[in-house]
Amino acid sequence: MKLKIIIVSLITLVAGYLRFHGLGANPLWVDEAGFGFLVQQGGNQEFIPQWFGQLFGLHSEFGLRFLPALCGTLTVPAMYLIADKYKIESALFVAVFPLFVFWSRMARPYAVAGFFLVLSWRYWWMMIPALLTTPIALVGVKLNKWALGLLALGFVLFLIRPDAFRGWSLLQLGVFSRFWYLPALTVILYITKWESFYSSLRSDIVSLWT
Amino acid sequence: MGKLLFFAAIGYCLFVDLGISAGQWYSHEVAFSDWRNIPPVDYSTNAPLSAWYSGHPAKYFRQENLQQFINEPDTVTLGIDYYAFYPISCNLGSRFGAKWEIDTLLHGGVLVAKSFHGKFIIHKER
Repeated sequence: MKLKIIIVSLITLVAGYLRFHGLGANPLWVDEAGFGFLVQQGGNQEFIPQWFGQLFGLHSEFGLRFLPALCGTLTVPAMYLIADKYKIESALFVAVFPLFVFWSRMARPYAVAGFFLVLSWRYWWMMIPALLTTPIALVGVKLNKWALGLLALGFVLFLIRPDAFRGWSLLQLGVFSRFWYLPALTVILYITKWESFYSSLRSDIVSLWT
Repeated sequence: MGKLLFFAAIGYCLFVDLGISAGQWYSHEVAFSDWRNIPPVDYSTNAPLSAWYSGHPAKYFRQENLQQFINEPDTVTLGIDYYAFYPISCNLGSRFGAKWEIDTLLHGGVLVAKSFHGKFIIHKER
């Protein structure tokens, strides 16, 4: 087990090198500039990376590409944790496959979404029907330590950088981010033990009718 | 045999990855051009990038703006990058005869031209 952890750590280091080496050296590509304008001026797309960029005031080539590179690197241990078989091989594949490396080095949201997709891989299949009616799913979030921690973190971040949330609305969160960051939402639902809470809520409602 | 093929594929991936960090791989699918330190221009084949790096908005040099570009009453500046070879930028690159102009654009460089009623004077910026 210890040897496997060492191997995965080494693979993650290689993945990090491939993603972070000379990250800010190349100029932006046209779509990356579009993302840069989203960070500068706000907009209705790419919520999590856009918010991250606004929060930390990232405008350089390195800064705009930082979150995708970080998420692309973290996808390697995430893949190891999620995979049933061929765990190390899967992690190695994600670490070096050129398409993953390329999009992890771009100021584009795909590696971020991919990271959450891997994390929530088992969970989101059963969540899809419920998440298509997001308001119901959100009602079911249990206020445990994780949920309260996330709320507290959001509040603190809002106090630190209120301008990072400019242009946000419930409509944008409900419509645009639902599809793009569905996996991210399922991770939140998972750590907040939404499933068991929703089940008990549903059985309570059913018992009211019977 | 399967393991051997797997590790051969991983080796090939690493070889390609070196090209990615050197900015080579994928360079013909997504056109990378270095607009850093390019002065503000009136028109651009890559308006978002010229606006991002110069801090001043530019109009797109495209078919729909071509007549407006030619009819400008004064001398206007035009930023030109790899997209000049694309039909969307009116295949502007096909008008260039000098090797250094074509080489500059093919290798991620940017040219700045002054234009009066569609006649160009080009100089290399980067």
